[in-house]
Amino acid sequence: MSQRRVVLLTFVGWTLVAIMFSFEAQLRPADLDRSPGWVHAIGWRLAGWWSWAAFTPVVCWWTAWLRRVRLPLALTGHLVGGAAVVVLCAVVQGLSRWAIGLYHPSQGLADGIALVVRAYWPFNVVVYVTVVGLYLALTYAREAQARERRTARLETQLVQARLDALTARLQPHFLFNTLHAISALVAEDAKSANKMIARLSELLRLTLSRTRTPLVTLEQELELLDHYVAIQEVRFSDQLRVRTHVEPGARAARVPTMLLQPLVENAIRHSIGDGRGGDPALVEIGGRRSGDRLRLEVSDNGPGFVGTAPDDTGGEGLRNTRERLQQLYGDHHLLRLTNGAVGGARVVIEVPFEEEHARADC
Amino acid sequence: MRALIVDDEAPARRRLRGVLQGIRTIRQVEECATGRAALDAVRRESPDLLFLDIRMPDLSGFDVLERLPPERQPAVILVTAHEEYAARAFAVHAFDYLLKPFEDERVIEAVRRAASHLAWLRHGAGMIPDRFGDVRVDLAAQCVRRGDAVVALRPKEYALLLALLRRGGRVVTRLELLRDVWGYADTVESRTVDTHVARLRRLLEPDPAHPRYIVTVRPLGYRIDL
Repeated sequence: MSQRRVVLLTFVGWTLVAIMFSFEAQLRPADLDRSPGWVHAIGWRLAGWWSWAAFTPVVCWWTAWLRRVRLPLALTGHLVGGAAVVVLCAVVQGLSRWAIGLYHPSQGLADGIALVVRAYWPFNVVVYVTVVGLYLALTYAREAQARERRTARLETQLVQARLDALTARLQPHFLFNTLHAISALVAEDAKSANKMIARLSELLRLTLSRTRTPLVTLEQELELLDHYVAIQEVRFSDQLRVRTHVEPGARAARVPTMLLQPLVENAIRHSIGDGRGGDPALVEIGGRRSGDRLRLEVSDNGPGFVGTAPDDTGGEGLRNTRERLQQLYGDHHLLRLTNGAVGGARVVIEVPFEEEHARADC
Repeated sequence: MRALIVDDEAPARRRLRGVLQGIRTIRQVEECATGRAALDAVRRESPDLLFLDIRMPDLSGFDVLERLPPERQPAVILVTAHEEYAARAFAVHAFDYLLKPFEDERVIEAVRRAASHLAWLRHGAGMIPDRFGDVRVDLAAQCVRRGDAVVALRPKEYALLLALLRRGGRVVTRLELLRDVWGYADTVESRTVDTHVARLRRLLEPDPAHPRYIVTVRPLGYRIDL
């Protein structure tokens, strides 16, 4: 809400209170201190409540400031500040009524104002407490609403991120093609079909369980990759060979989950059936520690990057990988796509070498 | 009939071969692992049925379709794990679209329909089929009979029936029907086709709730099973 609107609402609010009290003063029986006329009744109350309208922003600002301090100090602040406001407001109320000719103190202005303060302070204390209470109630309600909205937004983002992660990682067509290959094996080799079902189940289990885990060990990543590669080797039979060379010392390193699978998927897709005179596609996965860096490499014997951007799925997979690396490591990572010395595509990733236990302390 | 299977995955080829070899009308089954090999095989073998995978490493199934020699057009049945290509498949006049993994019966049914489609192409010499079930269409008199009774069709319903028959059992998309029968632009979406098809079924199908001849091919269009 804009500041101008708040000021206007405060002014209108207190004016309505003043009119209500004016009616009450004017309509009461004559022997119960009725006002001497409508003009007097309304003028007297407006002078009193508009004084409060002027002090309301001060009380709200003071209350807001005292929310930042501890409770005993806040209570003391309200005691001191409240007393000052109660007295000052009574002074303003007396002076304004005198100024518009409704108050005629017989003992002189100073004594008249002192009399107003003495007469009005208990009522002004009630008004002060009411203003503070209303301000706190409105503020808490607004904050609770904003918190609720933020929580809902965060939850939506989280769910979306998980879904994105899952769909980006395992393409539905991979699942259907694998089921189709299993369907072929069922008739001709039930044992192999069972093996394939077990591999696929394991792969799905690992993928689903990792949607909540941004980092895993390289060992765990290779375990997932092993299931994936085994399935692909059955699907593409003698057209595909996959070799893994990862130093034992590198396997404890923490890496973003599902980092290698999209890269291996791309490598397989671009190197299968590339017309090498019947030679199978060869995909190699490498990993080693180099000082405080972990270096991972996926290469193939396909046509390599030939001037154009990788096609849709590959592009998406790489973009996803790049974004996750940027999010996790900022500028402390490297993702390089090159062509190998003897042909084929090569993707190199370097990230800080962090072992499981090093992060576990954080 | 001679069939050619094109798929880069050996188990997928074996799966289809297993089903095709059990169909009496199929005499010969060949296999290819790439799009280029498929084009060579089509030129060499002139297959009647082409079972074509879409995502392949060298040429996609659609690339192969585009490059098929015009004089050797087999009935093309696309076989894929991607359902999102269905619209494009029928737009390029694929005869059918099988989603992996599939049941044997689905393949057998596709082959049966493809066989009658091919028979119509070869022997009907492009003539519009004039019968299905107990329905007879007198094309000269523009009159439709069911058994001995004349069925009163409105002009658009007759045109719709003809548009379906003219394809000889091939799938016709809603957009094609809108364009052919109503003259709509390609991009106009409309339920008009569906409501007219529903009325045709009420008039011509033995059990309109379970249509046997005027078949819905979700989510794209319709075909008439001859």
